[in-house]
Amino acid sequence: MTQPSAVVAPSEVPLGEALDRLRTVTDALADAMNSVVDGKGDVVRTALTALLAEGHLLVEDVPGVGKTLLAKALARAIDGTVRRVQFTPDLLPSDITGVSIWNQDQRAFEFRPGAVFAHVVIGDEINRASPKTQSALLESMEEGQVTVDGTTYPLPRPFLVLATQNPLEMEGTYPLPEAQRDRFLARISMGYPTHDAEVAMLDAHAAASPLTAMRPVTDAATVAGLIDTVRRVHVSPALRHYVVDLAAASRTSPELRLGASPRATLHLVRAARARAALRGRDHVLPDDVQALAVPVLAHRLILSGEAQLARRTAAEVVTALVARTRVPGRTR
Amino acid sequence: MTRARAVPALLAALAGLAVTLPLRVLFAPDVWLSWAVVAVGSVAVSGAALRVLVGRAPLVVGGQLLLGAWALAAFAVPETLWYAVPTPATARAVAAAVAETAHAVATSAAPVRVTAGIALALAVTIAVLALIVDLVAVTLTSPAAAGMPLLAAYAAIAANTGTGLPMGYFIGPALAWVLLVGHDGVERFAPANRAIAKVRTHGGPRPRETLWATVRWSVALALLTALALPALLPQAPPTFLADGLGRGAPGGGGSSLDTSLAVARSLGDRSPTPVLRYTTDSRTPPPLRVDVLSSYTSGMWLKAHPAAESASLPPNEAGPGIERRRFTTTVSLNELRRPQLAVPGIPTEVSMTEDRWLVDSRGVVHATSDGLPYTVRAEENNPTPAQLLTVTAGDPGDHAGDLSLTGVDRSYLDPIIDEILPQARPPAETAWAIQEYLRSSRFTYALDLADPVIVDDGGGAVADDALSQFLATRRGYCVQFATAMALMARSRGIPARVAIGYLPGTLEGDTWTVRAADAHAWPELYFAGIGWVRFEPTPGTHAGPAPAWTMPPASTIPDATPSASPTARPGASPTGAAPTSPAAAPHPTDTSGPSRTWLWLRHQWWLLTAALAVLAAGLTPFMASLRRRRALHRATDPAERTELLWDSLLERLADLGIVPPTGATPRQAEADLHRAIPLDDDSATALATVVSTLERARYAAHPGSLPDVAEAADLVRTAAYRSRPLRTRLRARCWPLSGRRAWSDLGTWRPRCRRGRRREASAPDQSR
Repeated sequence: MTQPSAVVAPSEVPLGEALDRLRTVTDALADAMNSVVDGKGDVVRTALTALLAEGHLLVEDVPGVGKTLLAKALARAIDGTVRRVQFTPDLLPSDITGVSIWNQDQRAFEFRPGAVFAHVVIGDEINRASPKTQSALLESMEEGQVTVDGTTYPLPRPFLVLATQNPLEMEGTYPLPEAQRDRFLARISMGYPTHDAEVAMLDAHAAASPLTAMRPVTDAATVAGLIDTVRRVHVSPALRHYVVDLAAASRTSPELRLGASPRATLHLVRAARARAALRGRDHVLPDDVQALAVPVLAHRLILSGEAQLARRTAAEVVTALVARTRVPGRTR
Repeated sequence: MTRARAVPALLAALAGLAVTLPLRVLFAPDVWLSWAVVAVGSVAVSGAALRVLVGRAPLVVGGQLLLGAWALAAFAVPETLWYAVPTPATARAVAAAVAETAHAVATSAAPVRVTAGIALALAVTIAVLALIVDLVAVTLTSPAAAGMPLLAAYAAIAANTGTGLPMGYFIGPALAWVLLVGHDGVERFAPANRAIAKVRTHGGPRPRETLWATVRWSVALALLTALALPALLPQAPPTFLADGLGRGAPGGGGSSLDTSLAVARSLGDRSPTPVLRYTTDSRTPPPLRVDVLSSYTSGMWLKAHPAAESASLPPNEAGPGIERRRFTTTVSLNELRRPQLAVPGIPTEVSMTEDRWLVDSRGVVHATSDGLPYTVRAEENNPTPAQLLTVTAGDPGDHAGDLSLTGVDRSYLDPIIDEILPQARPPAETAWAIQEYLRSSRFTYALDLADPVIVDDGGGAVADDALSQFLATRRGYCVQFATAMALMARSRGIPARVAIGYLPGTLEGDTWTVRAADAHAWPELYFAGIGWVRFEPTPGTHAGPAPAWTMPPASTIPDATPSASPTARPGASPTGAAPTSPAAAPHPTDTSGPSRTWLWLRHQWWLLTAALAVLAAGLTPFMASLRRRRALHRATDPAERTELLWDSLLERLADLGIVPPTGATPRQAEADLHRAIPLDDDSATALATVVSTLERARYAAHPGSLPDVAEAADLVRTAAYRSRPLRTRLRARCWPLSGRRAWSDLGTWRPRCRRGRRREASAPDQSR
């Protein structure tokens, strides 16, 4: 674990060195999380990508596949503040953001921070809360700050929201509107574990939850430094054009009613940077963009009626878009 | 130094030189060898220098051509240079040399006597071969392909020798070529090997070791085959196509020449017994004369009359304008019986122990004792064809006896003479026409004569005398040819006689050895103001090329169109004729040649088209290589070079049918290639190196110092080649995509526009 005192301002460190450190830390994080979440290396990597890209993650899947476990594992691996909010229909916005209460002694309103004031916020079953509560969380996610009673309170850095959502039991839920979903950098599905992974899980979880034995491998300050490192990863002009081309293609696609927003473009580049950094590269490849196109773009798009009738999924449409868009070759 | 590639250049030069060494069997003496060394050396050195200075293959080859030609001209024909600058005279000298050589090769049997012209032409040929080998093996770095021209040259020489070649002639060039290929392999694999060694995780033979093992096995196998195969194959005894008159009893004490020649007699046995051994300071000594015969009666040549003998040599009759070549000959072995004495040229001084020799009025020297060694200072007149032409037919004077045609049946001879020479011509042109007629492909050289014929093709009776029979059957050896020429010349008023003696023999070290089989007869024609002039009408003999003056000047050489004579079709003779020489047509006045050639070409346009198509197809691999190299040469930075190498790799894989999906990223292409090609560890690492370098070149902020991936790309390509069937590989080699693109590029080639486009494309605001 890296001590906060050892953290040097990232811009002073050569990028290669910074990337080496980033890999050391993220490998340790991934190892720690993989020891808890069996056989989900890809999902763990995507979660780390979102963390380093300063984005938020929407984990969507059926109950019991380990959505919450993944979120908890990530939170536990980082030595920072963690809050978990179980979203229910009666959850109030002030429970999320915090509330000012009258302090009798000081004769002044005192701000009691809500659940959102933490490095990692786990929003469990986010679609079970009322839209009013949901939007309170989503606003703070986007702006990195909370305003209560005219006073703005900055949120800590890094700040990662891991929201989980169950797509099946739709009764009594308030599905996230498309505009709200756009705030999440990526949406991932856990998927069922493989046979071997499930057998291994039975062994690991037999005695006690492996989560309890888990120790943090890094701290919030270090992660903040890593985020700065990721920002220095180079995106060649050709690749920037490529990302914009992808977004433009989604906007003109007849299969889509709503294409990718400029925020989606921004998220895609940030995620691609983080992916490149996770692999120790100081530059982004088209492969990074292509690998992240589905998790970053698919949840933001709205399929056209025809596409829905054709039982197409957003992921399929994005894959088709990627296949159609010309990969940049020479940069000159 | 790496671009100069001095070591392969040296090996290529050695291979080129070594493969032409068997020419020593075909051309003697070896004077051409030093010229060839100069030519090959200049090609190799200029190639190495030009590769450093200019780099581009066409420029290198052009420069090598110029420098090699200049070096050869400066060494071989310095008198034609004007302050070290070649002049039209240089070109004329080379053209004349080539023409002389072509003629000699077409009309002579091995070994051809090397004149200055032939030596020059040989050196030029060897230089061209060396240039091709250097181009393919060194400049284009395909040493394996250089085996083709080497093998072609070796096969061409070996096929012409007619006898087994000593083993060393094969081992030399083969070894040089194997070393060339081996050196290239080491050079090519070594850098990649170093790169791969860093990431090698398990054992196994290193590429360099594998390569050397392959080379060792190949060499061992090749040598074994080369040595074992001749022993297993049935082998015919070496046959000598050369003629001769040696008829002495084999092994008997000394030999002698019959001083009477029977024209109707076939030659049977020929003895390889040495008759003479001598040293001379002439590089191309003339034949040695023993006697001259001027009386022809009933198919027999006899001495004219007992000539008065004296101890003073007659003077050389040649006028002051005639060039004389002086040389000294010292005979150390003489098996000729007294009084015959072999003397070259026109003797000016004969030194013999006790001076026991006499000379008769015809200039024939006789020995009165067996004094050895004896030394002859002699001259050979070297008149130019033009000087011969100035001689007009006049009063024969003392040589009236050499015009006698008594006892000659002219019924068959005269019509032939009239056909060759319808009109009276100066003596020189008459002699040339007769010699060309006799040396043409109509006549066959053979030691046995044809069965006598009674009726000729035209229905007329053929006289039964020896000369008419020879002219009808067109088959004979030197005696018949010399006789026919002498008598034909006499019938046109030129004094003529037949000399008998020996050809110069073969050079061993610095000593010439004359064997009994080297006996020869040739006609001598008398030209007033020049003297007796030797002609050589016998084709396909040891005699080598006819002397320069016995051929008309180049300007009067008629077109190579076959003669219109119905009986003169090439190949009409029963035993397969000697090749027609360009100068063989007996109609010097035929001026319709060029237009006829043009007519022929016009009707053969499809043949030309086909030839051009075949040429274009053959050139396609070279065009491909050239296109790739040109593109690489134009790369302005390592990033662009990497892109070009990647494009080139994909192009060459496409030739093998391996095409990554369109729009694939480099990594996806890599994965696809992994599926398509069974890559071993080395080539997989090489592919990863290529792809990661390409990614850095394309997408990194500062690509920095990119490694050169040429070797790695080659490694991948080699692995891909190995994985494909032979047919695919051949198609890829012979008809490559980049070669086809190079052809299509030619159609749209605009040098300035292209440069302009490139600038525009690299502008920052167009950076996609």
